Amino acid sequence: MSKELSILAHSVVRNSSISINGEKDFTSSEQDFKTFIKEAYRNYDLKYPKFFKMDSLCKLAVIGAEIAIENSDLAEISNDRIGIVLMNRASSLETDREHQHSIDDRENYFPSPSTFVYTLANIMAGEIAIRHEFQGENMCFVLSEFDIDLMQQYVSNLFESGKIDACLCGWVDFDDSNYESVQYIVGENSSKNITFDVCTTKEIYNVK
Amino acid sequence: MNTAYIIADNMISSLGFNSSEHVEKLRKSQSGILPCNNSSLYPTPFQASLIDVSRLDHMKSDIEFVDKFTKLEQLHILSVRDCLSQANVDLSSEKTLFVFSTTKGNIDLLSKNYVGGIDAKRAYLHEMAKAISEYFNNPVNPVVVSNACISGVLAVNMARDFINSGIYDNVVVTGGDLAAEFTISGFQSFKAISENPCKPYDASRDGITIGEACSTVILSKNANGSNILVAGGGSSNDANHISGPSRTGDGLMMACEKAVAEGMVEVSNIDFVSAHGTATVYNDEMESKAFNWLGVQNIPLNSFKGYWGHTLGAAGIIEIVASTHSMRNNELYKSAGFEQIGIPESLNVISAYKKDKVDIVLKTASGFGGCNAATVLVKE
Repeated sequence: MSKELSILAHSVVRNSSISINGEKDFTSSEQDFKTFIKEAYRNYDLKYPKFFKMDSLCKLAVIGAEIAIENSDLAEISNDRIGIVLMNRASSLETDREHQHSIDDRENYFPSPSTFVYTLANIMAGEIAIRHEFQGENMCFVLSEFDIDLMQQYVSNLFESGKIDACLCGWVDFDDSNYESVQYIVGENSSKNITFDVCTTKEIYNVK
Repeated sequence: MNTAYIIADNMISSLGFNSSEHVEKLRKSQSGILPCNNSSLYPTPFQASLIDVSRLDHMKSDIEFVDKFTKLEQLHILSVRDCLSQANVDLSSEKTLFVFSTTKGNIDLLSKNYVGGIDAKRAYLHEMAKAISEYFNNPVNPVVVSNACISGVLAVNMARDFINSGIYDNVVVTGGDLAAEFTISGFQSFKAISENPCKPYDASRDGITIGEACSTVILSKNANGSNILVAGGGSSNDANHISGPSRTGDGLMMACEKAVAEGMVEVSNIDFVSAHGTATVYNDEMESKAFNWLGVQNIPLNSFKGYWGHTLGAAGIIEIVASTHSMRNNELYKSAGFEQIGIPESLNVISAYKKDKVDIVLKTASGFGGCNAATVLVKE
């Protein structure tokens, strides 16, 4: 018997603006990502100095997750029952290029561990896990586009197999100054929430 | 419903181009790790497990349009093709899915020193996946799992879920990573690479050895003569540190508990633990705590890293494949590089090759980002 699953809250970060549950919540006139995301950090008052050590992909993921989580009531759920399932297109290529640049020239050779650690797509899940102490299932997919059907199948399976009681799901992509984060919390049904299905997720993703 | 059988497998590493070549060397406890003095990979000499290039040149000669594929893609094609020679699977079916497991894919394409003719867009992991699945005329969008060093175990767990829920009849899970300059320079900057061949769980261990490998398993809802099932899986996050393991082993222990519960086995009935065992001081310490907590400290355990190094995105798959041969042959392979126990809580590290019953296996992996994963394999 499958459980009734809902989307408890969702956040969208793109084009220097942030929406919560479909409503615009923060907009910046700043087009540069690094400046915009710093403004967003201040706006949401994260008080999390580790944020400034992160690469752009992780900053994007952490801000998008923060807002979705803040707007979901997860207090009753044990941290080891909250999963994180993320997808993107460019993996960690933005930081990969930076690390590659540091080793391209033997005369100017400066590989750095603080850059190299961010050359994995799933570090964004790790950063979110540390910030919110989520210890449940982990998965990071790299795909040509946000595959809502795959997300639905994979996350539904995790719930059906009894491994999780809630899940942070999302598409978080950063590539060559283009960026996009759509994250949502899936949990068990409560009347005020919207149903977790492919159609609803598409609506959330497609809102401009 | 639990019918996810492993019906075909392949391993490509320094030890050979198919599984039987690997098994032959595992029985003799013969490692493929050698000194490497290739300044295009790293300015100073280091140890590595590398695939024989001249043999690859020979093996790849009958791949159609071979020049349209990168080295890693050629390895995937050879690996999948070897599996197809063992089992009749319709790759052109909508009910067959390709799942790729990799950390860095065609990362060599990013280098300004890259001299091949492949378009840089194939550094995107999904582009690499598409090139290979299209070569095999598979109509389904391929899935790439890129979750650090647990990618292979996660990919196999996902394949199991998708077969058991009836979404696919067959899933080809293929994992690979190269010993690329990118990766070696990065782990060197972390001071994570040992000057000697890695020594998992040993008192004198001081770091990893990088290896390159490609490995494939085909999971099917039909047994096709196989009696090995992927019975259960689980994953977790330590939520502790992005580049260091948990101090307590809690994350790994939780992933194992979920895999054991889903696999419907008793911890005491596990015959063999194929652990991650990277041979860094902290990883192996963490594993010793997690395994004692779980209660598998007396069960024979090894790390395969002493044979072919840490093969990153291929690691979970090649080590699952090696474990299935342990099960089919009822034999336990020595934990290569291990001499004297050097972990805070004791483990039963396999010190010599031996014949023994192997019906239930626990396979684990842990990686950067604080992630852990486990799989339970069961012989019917």
